[in-house]
Amino acid sequence: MAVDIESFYRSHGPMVLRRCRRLLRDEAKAVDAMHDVFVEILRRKDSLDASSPAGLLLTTATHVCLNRLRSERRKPEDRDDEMLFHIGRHGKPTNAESRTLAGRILDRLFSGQPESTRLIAVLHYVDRLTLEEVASEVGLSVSGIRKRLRTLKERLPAVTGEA
Amino acid sequence: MARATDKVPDWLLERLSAGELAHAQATELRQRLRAQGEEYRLSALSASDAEILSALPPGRIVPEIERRVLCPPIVPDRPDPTACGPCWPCPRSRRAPPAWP
Repeated sequence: MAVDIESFYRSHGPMVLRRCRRLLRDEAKAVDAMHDVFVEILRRKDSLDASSPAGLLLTTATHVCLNRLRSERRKPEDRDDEMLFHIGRHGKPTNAESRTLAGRILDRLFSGQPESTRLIAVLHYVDRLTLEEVASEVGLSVSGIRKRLRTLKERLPAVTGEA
Repeated sequence: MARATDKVPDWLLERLSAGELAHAQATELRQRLRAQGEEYRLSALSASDAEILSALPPGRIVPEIERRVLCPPIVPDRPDPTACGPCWPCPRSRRAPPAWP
């Protein structure tokens, strides 16, 4: 996939920034993550499919932002992580302690799961795509998506007990 | 299956705006937007694009992307002491360091 970074940024940069803003909820961090999204694309340009660049960039932005949230959670000063809390609990955290707990639960919930499962969970629980829409976005069958989400739900009680 | 009353997710709105969706899905999403009186969301994206490109023009963003591409990625949990992530000018960069006055 040939990438003219300047025209690519002009055509898709704002979309990437909006995605990073939505997930990170911090302007400076979103701008920083946006840079890294394009860095990822440039590093992998020889192996990428250019047929749907917006989908590719949105997916890459989601992975970059989730990785940042995960690495931030590992630091002692745990940040407000409402978005990831939603993935696991469908509710709003009430205080820092509950957010930290939610972070631990999510780390355990997703540990050992394919990377794409996190994307599936975000698309369905955070972005509110239907199962059919998620299936179309990630290139899996609806039953495959349902199975991944069911596996997460089945893991949740055990993971919650351990946290 | 999405209902006509379901809000069109931002993710799909972006892909619709980029013209990447299949014709049937694009038509269905446009119908949902129309039914909910939210067609303005598409034009709002264009306005947002212009606003962002004005605040963060390519001339400011692209050089930083290119600089980061030249530096190896840093693994946060096990930092490589030889990595050149935060330092600048990057010793591995092909670009010459700036001439300070």
